[in-house]
Amino acid sequence: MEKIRGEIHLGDFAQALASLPWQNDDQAQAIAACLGFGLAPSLPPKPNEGIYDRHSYSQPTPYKPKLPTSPPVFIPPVLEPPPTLPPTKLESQVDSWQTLAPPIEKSPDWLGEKHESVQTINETKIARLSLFPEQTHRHILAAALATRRIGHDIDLPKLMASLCRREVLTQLPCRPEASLERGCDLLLDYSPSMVPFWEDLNGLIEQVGRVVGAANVRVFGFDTRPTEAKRWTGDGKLQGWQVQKRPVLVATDFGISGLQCRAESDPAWHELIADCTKDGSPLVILIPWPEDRWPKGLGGYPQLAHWSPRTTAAMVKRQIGPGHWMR
Amino acid sequence: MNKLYQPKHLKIPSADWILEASENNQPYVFNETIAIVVDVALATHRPLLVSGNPGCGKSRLADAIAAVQGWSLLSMTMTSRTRLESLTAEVDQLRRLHDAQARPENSALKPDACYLKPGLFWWAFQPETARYRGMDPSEAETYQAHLPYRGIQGKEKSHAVLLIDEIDKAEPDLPNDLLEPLDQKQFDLPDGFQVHDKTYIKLSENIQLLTIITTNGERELPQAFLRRCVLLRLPDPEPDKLVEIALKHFPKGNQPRIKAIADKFPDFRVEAKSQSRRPPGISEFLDAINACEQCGIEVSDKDDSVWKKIENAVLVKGKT
Repeated sequence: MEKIRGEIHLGDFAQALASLPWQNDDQAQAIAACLGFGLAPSLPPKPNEGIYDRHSYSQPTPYKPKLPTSPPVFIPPVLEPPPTLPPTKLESQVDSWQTLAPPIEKSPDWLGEKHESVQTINETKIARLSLFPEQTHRHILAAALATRRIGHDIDLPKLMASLCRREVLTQLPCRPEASLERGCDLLLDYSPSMVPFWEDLNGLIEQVGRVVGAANVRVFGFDTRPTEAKRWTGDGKLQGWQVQKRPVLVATDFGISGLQCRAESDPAWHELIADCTKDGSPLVILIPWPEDRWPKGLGGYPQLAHWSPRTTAAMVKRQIGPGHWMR
Repeated sequence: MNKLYQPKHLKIPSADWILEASENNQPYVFNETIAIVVDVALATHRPLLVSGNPGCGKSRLADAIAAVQGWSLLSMTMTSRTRLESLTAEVDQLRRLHDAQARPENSALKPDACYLKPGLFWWAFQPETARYRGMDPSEAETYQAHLPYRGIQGKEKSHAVLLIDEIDKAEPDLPNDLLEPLDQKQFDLPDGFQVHDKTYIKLSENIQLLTIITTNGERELPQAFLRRCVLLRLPDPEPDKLVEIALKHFPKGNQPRIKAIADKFPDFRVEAKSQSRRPPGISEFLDAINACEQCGIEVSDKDDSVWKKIENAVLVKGKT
């Protein structure tokens, strides 16, 4: 009887080499590579297309609260005609100046000096821990972004109740199960106070993509105000974020730069919460600072979580439950 | 000159690596790398994980191997709702409940096994017990519970290629759930069910099985799962290879036209990448040739040409 085999090991490699008719080093190398003993990764990572480019975003505009929209107007407004120009052509008042600098008779010596180019210093890249470590990020993000749907396990109490009432069942009552099928919107705060975490923000894009599938993640960047989050689309257009019936994951420090949170948080956060509440989209906010610096008064709708290596999937599940309910 | 690899288990001639078209199968152009990797998977009895861009021939590889080996083909495409039970065995509880409620008075209940639904792994591990839902054949006939074969049967009926297609579309936990059936070649039956006094189904000793799992790489697979698989990455074929593939599908096709279409592929890929679009695959390439062959359309660079319309409809979908 065959024993439990576990992961591919050297025994598999030896077995393959012993039993297959390989004839040269290239073929032996191909055998090693397909068993995972090669140097090249078999599943190369995809290029990250969502990374923030600060130059592509304008400075944040002053906050303007949303005003109640007026009823639609069906007749376009009549524009004022442009002012009529005078018929006469006016003379220009600008005089041309003569050259102020004296003519150069002899070029200075320093102009011909040869300078060595500045030596670039090869900076050693310091290894840093990810805020959600590689071993745990999968479970934490799955717990944070899961939504509930009707599952396959029978809900016995409901079934018993239906049978007792002698109801004709057209479908079995089933218990809900957690699913990542809705994907998520990732809103990343690239404001100056988040500069120490930019590498973590970019890492978060990859981590979320790996968990829910890169095609199921829309990545938006914002500077201070989440409601002004934008992204570049594939055809080179800047697209603003709109809530879209899917979990919203925000990574931000609320602009506190590690200090105590201000008493009043930016009203744009309340707008974001209102938009998500209205749409029924779950809102999870990751904050890289401890809980005592989190803003107060955001209400109970957003789920705030500490973006830290100490956070575990169990902590997130305790807070959120087995997936968000969505209407 | 290096000698070509002579496959030991894969029954494909190494002279041209080609599975010719026949009544039951489409042609497939193998290569030495594919032959080595499939041979390794067969020699080590490990599942074969095939990755590559959409339309590069991952799923078709399973059809082709089944045809080459003369084995049966069992396949299932994963969705976000696919669970381990739908791949192993599940119980049709609703039908069981209805039958119990609707039966005439004093009549006996059907055996519980009548409501077992064998999944793909059961059909691969023990096709004979799957056919009768684990009951005796006579008992299954009595209750009309026997099932037709789930897949496409080959000449060697018991051996099979099991295709688990697009595993990256499934929920992230599914690959971990598959470790036991892939690793130990067995799975547990639902609670309370037995087949030949056993609560599990195990791969019959006289059956050869090759499990092929495909992924587009949309979602990362767990390391424990990856480390149990033999890995094969199918690259996007170069224009010469595309022409070779096309001529196997359209032996009487217009060769200069096929070459002209194939030569456009590198540009299509670069353009698609710059616009974050999916590049066209082999299947779309063959669709374009088929359309040109049937309608007699020539390749043209003019914007208002019929070819440009075919190009936009079949090859550069979603171009802006």
